[in-house]
Amino acid sequence: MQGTDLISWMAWTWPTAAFFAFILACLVGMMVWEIYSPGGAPRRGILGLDTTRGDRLFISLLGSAFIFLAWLGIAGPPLWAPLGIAVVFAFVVFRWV
Amino acid sequence: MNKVVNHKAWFFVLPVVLLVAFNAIIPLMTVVNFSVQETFGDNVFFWAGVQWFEDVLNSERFHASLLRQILFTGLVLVIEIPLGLVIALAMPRKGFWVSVCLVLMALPLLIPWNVVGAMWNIMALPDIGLLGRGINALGIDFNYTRQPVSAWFTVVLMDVWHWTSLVVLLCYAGLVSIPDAYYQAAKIDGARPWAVFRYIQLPKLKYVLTIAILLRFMDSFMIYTEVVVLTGGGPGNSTTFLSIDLVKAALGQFDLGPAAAMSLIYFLIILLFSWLFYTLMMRNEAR
Amino acid sequence: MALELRNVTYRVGADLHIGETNLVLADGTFNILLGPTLAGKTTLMQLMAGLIEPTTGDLIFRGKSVRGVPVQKRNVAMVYQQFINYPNFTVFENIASPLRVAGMPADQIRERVMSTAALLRLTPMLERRPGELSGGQQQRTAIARALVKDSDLILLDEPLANLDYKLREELRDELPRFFEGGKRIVVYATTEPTEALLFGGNTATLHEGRITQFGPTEETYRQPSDLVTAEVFSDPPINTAPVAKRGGDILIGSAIRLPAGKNAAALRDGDYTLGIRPHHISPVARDGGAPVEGRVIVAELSGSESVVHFDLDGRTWVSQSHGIHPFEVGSMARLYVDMDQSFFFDRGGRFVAGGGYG
Repeated sequence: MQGTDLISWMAWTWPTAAFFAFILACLVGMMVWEIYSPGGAPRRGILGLDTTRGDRLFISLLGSAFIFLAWLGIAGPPLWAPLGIAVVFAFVVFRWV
Repeated sequence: MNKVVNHKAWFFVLPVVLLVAFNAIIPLMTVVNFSVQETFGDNVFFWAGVQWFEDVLNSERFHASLLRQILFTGLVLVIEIPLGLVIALAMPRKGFWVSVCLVLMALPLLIPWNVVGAMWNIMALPDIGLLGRGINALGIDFNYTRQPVSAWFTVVLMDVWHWTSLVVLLCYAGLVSIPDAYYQAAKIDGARPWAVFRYIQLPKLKYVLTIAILLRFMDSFMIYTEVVVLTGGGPGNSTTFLSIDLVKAALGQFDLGPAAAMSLIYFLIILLFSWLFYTLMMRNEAR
Repeated sequence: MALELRNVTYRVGADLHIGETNLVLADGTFNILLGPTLAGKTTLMQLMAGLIEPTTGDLIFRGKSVRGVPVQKRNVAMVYQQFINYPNFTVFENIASPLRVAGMPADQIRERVMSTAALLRLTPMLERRPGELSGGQQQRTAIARALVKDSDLILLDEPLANLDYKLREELRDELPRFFEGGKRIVVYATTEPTEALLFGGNTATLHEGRITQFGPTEETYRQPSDLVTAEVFSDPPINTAPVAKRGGDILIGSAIRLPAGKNAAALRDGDYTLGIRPHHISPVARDGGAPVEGRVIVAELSGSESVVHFDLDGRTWVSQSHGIHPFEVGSMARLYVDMDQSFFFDRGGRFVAGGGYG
């Protein structure tokens, strides 16, 4: 067994730690963004949905997850292409939805 | 408008944050960690990348259980929501019978899930069960341990029996909260019963129905105990829904990695559907 | 003569909800049902509308009995304390709904809805849904729905009670205008005497399921036919005390002696109940003001009004006056009763003398 017991049972790896760090960074980033440039109030986008910035982050992340899964199911690795698609998707969501 | 900024409020949500952290976020993180590794027990892990996700997504078995799951949940929603609504509409609003009806409706919800499974297991037995024998007596060949159709029939019937009450109680609570004045106003307008339902009761029940559909969707999508006790996922794999498949993989075969990948995919599907339902049903309200 | 309630009673089981009631509401009048909560205002309105059938008695509308005629055939409209609108209709569709049920052609509906909406100042909100409106606008929509179909009878059941102060004042000022003209009978239920005085028209005072008096609002206020009516139609409540008249004096208990004033001058000596409205007791000495002394229980200032609750021979009396008059709680206060404005009732509660003030 490596590391302390508390950590080892969770079986951390560097990529998953980075993944969660990214999610956390997103949340902190959203907070900082809202403090320095408020504007997270709901607005009506192209889908006719009222979304706040937080909603758009959620849609981006959930959508990205399915983009990755779809790519993996149909084409398989490497996953650079779906990463690109996900980034474009997130941009579109934040800009227009 | 000036907002009053008071950070003390955060302390009040702290207990919830801790609770969620311990019972949702930490286990979820652990599952994510498992899903990219291979283990042979003893807490020894090897990096496997996205291998398990690829495997699960391309496995016939996963496709089949997902399809069964969607079919089952669809059936359950299509039957339970309208049925629950109709029963709630038919229930008396005042007097002695209200409490009788409410208690009767609450009964199935009070029975532990494994007991529900066991009850229906016995009830549907073709040789000694009331339901099983009854159907066979009608001249229909019914045996849920051998015929997939009979098994499906029994499983769906069991779920309807167990959970329609929840929809009834939610809808009933919603109906009772509509002030009498609405019905009087409709009466004065000369509105017919259908119009009262369509333009007063249904809109007023919207939130309640959203909650009912969401709860029934999530619960039926995660159904495990009752079906395992009733059919064990059989005959064959015909009633092996996602959660049953998951447990078979994780515990039966101790494939922690693939099972973790599968639960994450499962989780994402539930998240997606819940979000879709919620958004679609709340969309009109915002207009 | 338009709507007549003839010997109407209403019972639920053994409970008498409405005692025998006779009432005639003329065409084109504004009628107020004034009474405390549970006095039977709503029940009486439901009887008038035909939502419930009287246990005994008859309802005559324009010469014909309407007993047994279902409510949707009576051409009535009702506005409730809650803001009742169809939740998923726009304001336009809400106002149009009674006309659509009646099968009116679309262009006529449009015309009628537009003019009614203009009257109620709802024109800018026609495309919104009730959920997006303020309480005042929601109630305007409900009133518009009642007005649009040219009903013979419009019943308003405490329509302003659920509104907050500012919106209530605003709608209250406008309300009489909505109902001007036409042959329709308007019935307006309220718990507030001030509302009745503001709207004028006719007032029926209700107490425990009975109409105690019905007549022009001013008259009912100035000449209450009995003590109960005077109590219902006074806010804060009218001050009362059992009194004895001895010559030119009115005795409250043994210690308090007041002059009879012009109202009681002609009364025979004997026992009566004195009634005096709070705004006829003043902290300032005036002509005809008879001094009384009492211990202050509560003293409050509301706006430019002073309200003092004081103890008089074991009864709590209230004085209400313009201007700021501070009193210390617990101290003895000297107040002046305008005995020329007093009412006298016999011990059975019937009016014998008084009132007539301006």
